[in-house]
Amino acid sequence: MSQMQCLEINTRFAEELDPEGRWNIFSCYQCKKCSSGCPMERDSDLHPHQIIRMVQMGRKDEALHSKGIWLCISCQTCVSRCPMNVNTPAVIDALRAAVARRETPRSVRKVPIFNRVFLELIRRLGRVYELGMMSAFKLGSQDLFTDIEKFPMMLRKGKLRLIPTLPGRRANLRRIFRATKKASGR
Amino acid sequence: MKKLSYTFYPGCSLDSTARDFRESMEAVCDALGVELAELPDWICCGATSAHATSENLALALAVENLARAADSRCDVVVPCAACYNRLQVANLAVRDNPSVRQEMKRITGRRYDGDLNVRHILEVLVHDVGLDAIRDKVKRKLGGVNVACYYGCLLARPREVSIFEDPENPRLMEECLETLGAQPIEWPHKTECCGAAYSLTTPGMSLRLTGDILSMAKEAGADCVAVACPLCQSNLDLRQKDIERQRDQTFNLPVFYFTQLMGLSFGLPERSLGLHRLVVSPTEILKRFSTPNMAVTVSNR
Ligand code: SF4
Ligand code: SF4
Repeated sequence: MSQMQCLEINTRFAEELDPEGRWNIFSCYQCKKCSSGCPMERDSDLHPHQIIRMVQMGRKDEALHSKGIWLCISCQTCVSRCPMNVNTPAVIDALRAAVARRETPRSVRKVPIFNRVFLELIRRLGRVYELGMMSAFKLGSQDLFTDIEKFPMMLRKGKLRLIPTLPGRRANLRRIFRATKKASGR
Repeated sequence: MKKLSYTFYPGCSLDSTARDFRESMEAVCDALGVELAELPDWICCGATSAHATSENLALALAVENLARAADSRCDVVVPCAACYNRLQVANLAVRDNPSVRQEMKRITGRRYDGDLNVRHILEVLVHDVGLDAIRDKVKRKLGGVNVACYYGCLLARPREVSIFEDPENPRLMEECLETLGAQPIEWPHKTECCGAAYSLTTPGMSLRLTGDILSMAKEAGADCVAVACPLCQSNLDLRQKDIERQRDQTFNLPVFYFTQLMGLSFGLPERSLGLHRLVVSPTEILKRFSTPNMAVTVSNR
């Protein structure tokens, strides 16, 4: 006698990530159209359709600790092609925001470091200029050499600014950053 | 012709690595009688780093800019594809969703209802200025060279913010360049991702993606590439030598902003178009641009 097995899944994780149900997480039927056009899929442990599956099943740890959520480059190919309009990049953004800093896999740790440095420049200056960005990132990630050899040529071509032009009124930035800082303190 | 006026949001790249985009765009707009008023004290849109960190932060940085632009009532024109994408996503979110509008008011202290239009410069030139007005300015036809139009991700996706009728096969740049007498080629990688956002953090992946695009352009018979995004440009141009070395393959594909090609065809001085800032030298290609008629006379002799 064959018996159908019922699997109980924990939908709470998906609801935490997307409380208003804007991203159609449970509409995904695993057709893999997203993954076949995804540029990071080859380098990733989890492919986009698998990330969505983990979220559907409430497999929180696997989703949060995957390299894929950091390798995703937000190219929006998956969501544009998805027949069910599942907003995978938005789900991935929410996963990134939910991961504690120290739990990012080592091989992709430069991505959140980059993001932090980038946002810190905006918070302080209002704009990002490549030279400031690259030097701060290189210090933060202890990767001092990539691209250094390009600096002289870029300077010659007028493609790097030593001193950025800055906006005058920056006060509101502090307000914005304060008001969007999460309760977790991240 | 009625004067077209816009609020201009340059974004960080156009101040540094993409100065040539700014120069050529301003020169072309000037020639076409398009007025651009730079948004005073604009701030960075937050790019990928903001939306990967907090959705509200990303929306608020964009809304802060749009709210400041609201008084002018002009459409906001954005040349950087990444900034365009961020500002447009936020604009539509505020316009369509009262709870987002409320939340943004709380965060920024500004009331903004999403009543401006956010536009990309490519679409403004083709739709508002129009192909006829562009054709009227052409002094030199850009025949004799195969151009691969490359769009990248952020002008095409997601669908709600796409400036194209068909996000999988855009034609806007081709239409614009055909008007200049250029020969755009058909090729499959027009909207593939070049990985620019990760060129510092995971350079291996980014070089592979960029390499695939250059390699496909070459295979399809391109002599040069035209782009409408500063991130794509710097990735395809600045890193081309590295990729050639890595793949042991020669591309030698100059990567122009489409506005530089427009300026060339309008007969504007090369210096004003920032052509000297390109990394892969365009000198050979510039010599080859000619009117198709001229090419025929030359070869008949
Ligand atoms: S394309 Fe959409 S429905 Fe198909 S697997 Fe991906 S997310 Fe699921
Ligand atoms: S947005 Fe992320 S997951 Fe989606 S196709 Fe692009 S890289 Fe892959």
